[in-house]
Amino acid sequence: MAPVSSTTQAAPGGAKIRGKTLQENIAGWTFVGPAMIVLVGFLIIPLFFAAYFSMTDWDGIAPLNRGIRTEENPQGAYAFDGLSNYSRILFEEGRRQENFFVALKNTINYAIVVVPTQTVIALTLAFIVNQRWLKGKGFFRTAFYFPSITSSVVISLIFMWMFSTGGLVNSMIRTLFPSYSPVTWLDNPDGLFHLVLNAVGVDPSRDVLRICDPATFQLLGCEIGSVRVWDWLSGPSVTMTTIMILAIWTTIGTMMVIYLAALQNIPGQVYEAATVDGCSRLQLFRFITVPLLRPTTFFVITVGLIGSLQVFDQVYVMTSGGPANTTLTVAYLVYRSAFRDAQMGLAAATAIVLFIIIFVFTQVQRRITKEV
Amino acid sequence: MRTSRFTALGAAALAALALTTGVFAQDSVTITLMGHSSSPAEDEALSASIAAFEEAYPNIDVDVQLVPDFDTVLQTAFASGDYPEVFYTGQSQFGRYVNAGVIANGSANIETPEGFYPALAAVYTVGGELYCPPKDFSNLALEYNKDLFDAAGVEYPTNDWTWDDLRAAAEALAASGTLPEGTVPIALNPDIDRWFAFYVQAGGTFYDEDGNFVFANEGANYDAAITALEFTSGLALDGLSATSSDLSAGWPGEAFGQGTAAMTFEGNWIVGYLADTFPELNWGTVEMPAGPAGDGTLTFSEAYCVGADNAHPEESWLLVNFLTGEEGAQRVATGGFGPMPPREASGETWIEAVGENGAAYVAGGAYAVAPVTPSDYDRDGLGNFIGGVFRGDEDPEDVADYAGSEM
Repeated sequence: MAPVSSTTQAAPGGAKIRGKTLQENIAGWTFVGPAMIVLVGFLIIPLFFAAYFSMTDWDGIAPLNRGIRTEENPQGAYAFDGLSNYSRILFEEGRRQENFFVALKNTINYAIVVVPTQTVIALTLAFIVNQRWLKGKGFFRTAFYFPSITSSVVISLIFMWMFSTGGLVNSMIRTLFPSYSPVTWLDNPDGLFHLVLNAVGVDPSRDVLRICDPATFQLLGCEIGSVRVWDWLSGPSVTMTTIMILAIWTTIGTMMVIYLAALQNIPGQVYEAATVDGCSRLQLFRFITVPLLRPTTFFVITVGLIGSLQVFDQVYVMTSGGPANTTLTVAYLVYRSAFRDAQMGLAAATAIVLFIIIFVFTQVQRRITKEV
Repeated sequence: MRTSRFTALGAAALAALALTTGVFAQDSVTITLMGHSSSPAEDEALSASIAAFEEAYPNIDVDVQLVPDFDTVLQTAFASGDYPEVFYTGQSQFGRYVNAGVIANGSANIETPEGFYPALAAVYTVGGELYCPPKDFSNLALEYNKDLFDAAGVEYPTNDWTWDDLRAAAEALAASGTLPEGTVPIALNPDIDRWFAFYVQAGGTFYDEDGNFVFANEGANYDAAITALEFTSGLALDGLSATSSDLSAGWPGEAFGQGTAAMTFEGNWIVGYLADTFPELNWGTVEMPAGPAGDGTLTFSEAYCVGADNAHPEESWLLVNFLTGEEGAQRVATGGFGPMPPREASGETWIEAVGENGAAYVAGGAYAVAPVTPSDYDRDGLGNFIGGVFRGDEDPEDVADYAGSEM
């Protein structure tokens, strides 16, 4: 009897719980609903569309309501091409492949320089403006944050003006060093390592850089993905460096604010305890602040990495990928294929490859940051 | 009684209203014309033309949409299948739009297909049929600063100048010592269209008989591409020319207007620009210098195209014919703004409107070539390699090889 009664007693309670779960479900979906709609409408669906069109020869112009091009429907907007777009950018030798690998090289260079630099500077700045002894904290916080809230297009235009050959930057350097011959910041494809080598007196002649003879270990002229080894190694161009300076300067503000919030979350007792134990100021920073900020650092690096793999607007405004494609980034290449060369299928394939690259990088970086 | 009278009145009024709106709904047609904004004067002239058209055809309403970032907006409109009835089409976009099947063939609908400049009509002709009547166009010419030439005591350029004359004059200007600090004889950017211009003067061609794009591919074309690059980069390497960014200007025309270059090679868009921005400048124009293969200049144009998926094709062609017919061309000509009218007959009128500096641009129409690249040609990619040649970092041969290689 007792088990029976317990089940009969449990029944109304279970219904109540079920009713409550249903209610909670409704409430939950209502809360996440708007975000879900935005996410599905503007992210998931476009992502599937991009994946779909990356396997077609669509030019981005032909009206999609004409359907797929077949023998019965010769007016169709696009035909399936299998993976040929991927093969054109990744495996087939030619200009499309060269453009993609040049863009990839530039983007990697950019990420390698920009992400660590902006993270270190942002942490340093946040640490400084978090000090109690600092006067005019509000002013400095606003000043450092200001570039982040200004339109990147406007900043790019101002940089173009500052870095033009007869512009502010060159005039200032010339005032300090009268013998300085002006650098054409915005139109100089020479790689930084190349210039460093030149400065120490090594000037590899152009012919040497073109030799590809594995037997004698002269590999600088060999091509990996239609791009010469030397071009992979010669570093970001002067123009790319200018764009990097701009990007670092604009992003550190946001990163600094994130670090600042995290710094203020570290309880004062931890510092006090460490001070009692005899830590110096440097040790406090090294052994208390930095480890406690690790989750924030992970966030800052991830956001920075994703941002720098997608860099587009500065390139669009300042250089259009020139000079000699040294500022061509993958995101800009996607735009160029889609809207300048009428190759939407190819652009979609490039975008999907970029997505995979970002995904892999983020996973790798997550592993590394977690294990440290 | 009173009530019923009011009811009757109201019913009659309603019926009248329904009738009139019904009549309007049946006869009135709205067509959309999409384009981009040009100079304020041109935009005003366009509205005036549209007003005249709407007066002539009261049942047609034209909705003019001048949008920023026009090519991208139009491309997305095409892709959606819901796009304007009439739109501007630049010569570099035309091939793409024809391939995508969004442009209606105009051969049966263009009222006066004869009378356009041949080079201009050829751009918009596919398989012998004219798809879109040209709207207006520009040719490159040589602009020179009279004051700087006078000060240096160098003779003004003439229409029969050759490359050697150009170089000699540039050297004389540089040697005279009268050019102010920071001023160069020539403002010339390492861009692809200037390369194309000198390529034509060196005897290069863009298309073979089968319609294949043959720029810099082999033989005479390859040699012409190199000759052109060697000549123009030679000017830069010898300090006779500088780029607009070297001269702290946005484009060579601005440097020319600021007086930091004695000569430049721009199209007639510079006429209105200089008149507005540098009205004091004392300048003249002559035709482009002749290269080893004779005269050559480039033409840049736009056309009015009618959409293929179009609910009102008749009304659309009425509008396009109105804007591009002989009277339409006269209207463009008398406006006297930058771009020239597309019909040879209106050339003189345009010169009268803009002054004697217009003559060199019109004269170029006789032999100009339109540098139209294939729809998937990587123009931007190629264009940003030319700078290396001008700095002496790249060999002309390498860039020509790259240009002539398969995509």
